[in-house]
Amino acid sequence: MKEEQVLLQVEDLQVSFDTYAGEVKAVRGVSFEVHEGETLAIVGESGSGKSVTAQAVMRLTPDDQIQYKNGHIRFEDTEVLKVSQKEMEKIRGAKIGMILQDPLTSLNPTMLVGKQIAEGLIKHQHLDKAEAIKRSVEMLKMVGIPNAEQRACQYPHEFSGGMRQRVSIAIALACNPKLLIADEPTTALDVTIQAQILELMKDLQKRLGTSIILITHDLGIVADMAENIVIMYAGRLVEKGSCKDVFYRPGHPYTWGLLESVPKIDQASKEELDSIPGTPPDLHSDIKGCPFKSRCKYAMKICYEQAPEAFELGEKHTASCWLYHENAPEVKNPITNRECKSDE
Amino acid sequence: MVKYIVKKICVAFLTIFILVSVVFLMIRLLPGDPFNDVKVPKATQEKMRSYYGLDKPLHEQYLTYMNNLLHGNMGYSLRTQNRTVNEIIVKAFPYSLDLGIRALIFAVVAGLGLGILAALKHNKFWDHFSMTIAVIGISVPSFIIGSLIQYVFAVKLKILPVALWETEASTILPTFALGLGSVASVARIMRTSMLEISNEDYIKTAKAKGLSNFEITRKHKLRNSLLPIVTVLGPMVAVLLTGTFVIENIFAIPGLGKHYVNSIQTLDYPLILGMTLVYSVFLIVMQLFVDIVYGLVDPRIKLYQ
Repeated sequence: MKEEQVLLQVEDLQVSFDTYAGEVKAVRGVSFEVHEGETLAIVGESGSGKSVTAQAVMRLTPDDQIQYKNGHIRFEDTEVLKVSQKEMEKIRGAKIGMILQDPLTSLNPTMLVGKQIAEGLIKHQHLDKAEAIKRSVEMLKMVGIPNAEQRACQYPHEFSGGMRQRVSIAIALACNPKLLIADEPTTALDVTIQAQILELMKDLQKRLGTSIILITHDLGIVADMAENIVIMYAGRLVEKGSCKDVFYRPGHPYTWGLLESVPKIDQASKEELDSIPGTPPDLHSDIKGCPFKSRCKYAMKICYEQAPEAFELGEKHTASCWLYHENAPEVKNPITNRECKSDE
Repeated sequence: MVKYIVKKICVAFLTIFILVSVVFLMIRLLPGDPFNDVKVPKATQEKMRSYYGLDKPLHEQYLTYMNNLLHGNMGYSLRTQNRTVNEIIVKAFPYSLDLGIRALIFAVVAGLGLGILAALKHNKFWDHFSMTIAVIGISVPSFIIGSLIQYVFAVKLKILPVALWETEASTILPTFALGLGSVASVARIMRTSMLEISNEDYIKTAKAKGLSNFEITRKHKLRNSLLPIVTVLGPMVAVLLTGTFVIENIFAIPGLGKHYVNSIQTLDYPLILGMTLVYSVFLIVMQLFVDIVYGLVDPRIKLYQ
């Protein structure tokens, strides 16, 4: 595999929100990078900070509602957290596109679909109205919407959920951005449509060479799509590695739990689906030690004292878990059935 | 669309028919009689009653009235000499209409402006400023506002005429006094609506396209926030344009307003019915108008099922 250029680098990102109940530390030191043409999946449960991280890359949350405490985000040559909103407007849509979760609410109900796609083109590529509409019809064709000419002159409520998500993709990709952030793009769709949308994203990525950050809580859809995976828990990165590493040699007990929670078709006799017991910690307070300790059956004394650092498990594969410390007791990895060792 | 409007118009006629019938009967239930006055000799009273046809059986009176109404004749006012209700309304209505339209424009322009400003500067100075004005506009009655601005601008500062409806300058104070309450409600509704819309996902989508705040507001927020405004605008137009007793009284404007109150106090039956008709026709037409505007603002709303 040849070394691709780094497109996006996120380093030690810390994000907080001020709420009536106090400061919520939503993201607590996250680092990852996205290479050109690569798909990175950010996986985690609700409230793990994955969407906040992704929106920070675009500075989408209004500046007065969010605090970037630490870290930096570098997209190409731009320090995203340092530039002005005016500078960001040149990046949003033009270089980074975004697809939101719910296609029923993510399109403007009172604006023609073609016009919604054309807006970005008029803004960034300075096309005139007629050209921009022509381009948006082409975009609709590209995302597989039949009768694109007529459909461009319709309103979102005349489209089905899956079709609307295709429109969202067309909007996000209209200016041919280098990075596409897909925030749970299939969560609101039914399973057959899910597969179609993912297939479409993969296909367009191949054609356009776009990098994708795929945010999801569904490990099942990740395996097909992503080259690299980061697993987030309580605002922290718990495991990072290639798709193969995470699926075949997962290192963190949380990842084990996630993998065990994916329903398996050959275990139909089981009555109850597997789950990870307990709930994630409250993000209002500082977390002492490992954030996963109270739900982890392998938790040790040290886990309550000190947060684990990232241990190298292999090339570019890390897990933040004390089990990989040299003094840790030997625990059997339930996925691989092998002993946990930091260097295999 | 045309079918819908025709249907609505038929329903409107039916509504007006029922309304007029009910009001016709109800005013007869009011205690007293227009000509029952101890100072007037009994014989004169009888003569007056028979002159206006009030001595005939009720159903006969009703049929006569309805028949005249169909021919556009609302009868003679009982309290003026030989003046028809039509004449009274035609003479007074233009004043009320003029004042109402001015107040309406003031309400919509200032109300939307303040509301949008408040929403864009949420929780900042301009938000508090706009909402303070809104609270004052809603809670202080118009007769206090009216007298107050009369005192300040006409009596003390002497920069505007104190009353009457003659020059352009004389329209400013009554327009302000009449419109302020509506400014306040439009501003509050617009602010709430815009703030709600700001949290919608499609605003995020618009931002992710790289649009500036101004473009997002103009292209995405405004149209979507207007629907609740359209809803209150219908009744508001009817109230403002058909005249108000208090404001017209304070500023000595010869509009329709005084007839609402006077006609009932003096039991001027035909005038009561005439005023009811003017107001209800206005209200019904405005409701129809609102329905049509709904469809224009929001394509999801279809007029025909």
